[in-house]
Amino acid sequence: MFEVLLGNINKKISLTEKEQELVKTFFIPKKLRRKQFLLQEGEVCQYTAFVEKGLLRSYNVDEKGHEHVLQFAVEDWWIADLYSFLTGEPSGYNIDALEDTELLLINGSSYEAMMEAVPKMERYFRILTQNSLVATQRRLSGNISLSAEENYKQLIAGNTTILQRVPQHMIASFLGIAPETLSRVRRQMTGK
Amino acid sequence: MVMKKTIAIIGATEPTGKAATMQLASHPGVRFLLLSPDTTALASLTQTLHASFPGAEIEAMTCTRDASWEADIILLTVPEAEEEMVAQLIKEVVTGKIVIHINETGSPSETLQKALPHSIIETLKPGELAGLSFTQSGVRS
Repeated sequence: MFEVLLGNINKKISLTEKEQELVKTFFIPKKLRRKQFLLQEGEVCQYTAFVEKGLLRSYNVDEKGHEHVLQFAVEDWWIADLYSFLTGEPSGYNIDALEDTELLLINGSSYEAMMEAVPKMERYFRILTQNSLVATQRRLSGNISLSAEENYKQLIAGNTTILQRVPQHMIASFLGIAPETLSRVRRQMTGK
Repeated sequence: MVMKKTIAIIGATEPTGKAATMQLASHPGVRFLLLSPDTTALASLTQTLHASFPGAEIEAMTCTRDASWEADIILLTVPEAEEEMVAQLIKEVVTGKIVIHINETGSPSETLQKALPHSIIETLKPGELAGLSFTQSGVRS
């Protein structure tokens, strides 16, 4: 149940057996079935979630009812609405399961208590925050300066598993392009 | 929009469990997973509940561990002699979750406290269930 999380942590920092056992006690194991929500728009995001198994997406819905995908999260990834989690403001996002999913959830008070109990985890979360900032900057930069084809290439370079598991219209939404545009880009790339 | 809470009721066909289930099934925004070794009685209870509360999300399940893993809150209404066995079954998947233990006296169970040290155990008398409300952050009596 904790294999993937402990693997992820131990890639970045080194925990003793005792520290690993202690870390486990701060997480809430949660199973979601496909199409169930972890977070719905208007709620306060109470948890940061680590994906042990399965696949989720976060998205918002505009006034016309169109969904805009912000993030996908597969095994070994974290997902949350950090703004809502950190400020206590209602979230503007939904997070739902695209497959049957196993999560490890941590709430704000357990997060703080874990840092007190296992100070090494501060470093782990600092590294995660750095990585997330870099990824966000790359995505923003790609959105404002790259073509649809270049953005798609960047996505497939590091996320083959997501592409195989997520419907094409959600990939298009993530890239901020119409599904027809994504089909055209894929046809062009196949033809090259 | 508020996310549905999932409650697993372990021992749903026991007298206390059945009364609790009937009392709680009308709660809006709650999904119920019912468990009992008596599958015939469980099927009959589920059918009765669906007829009495159309639209309520009620599902009979066979695996106590899986249901507790899915649940946000666990309602334990098994006989005292089975508490230890059930606690051992679910302990890995109820860390940080609220486990509501219902018994006639309302006195806390040392067995459960010991077996589930990382869960939040609340003990209630059967009559105290009526005042419960299930909020985004948990349960309020």
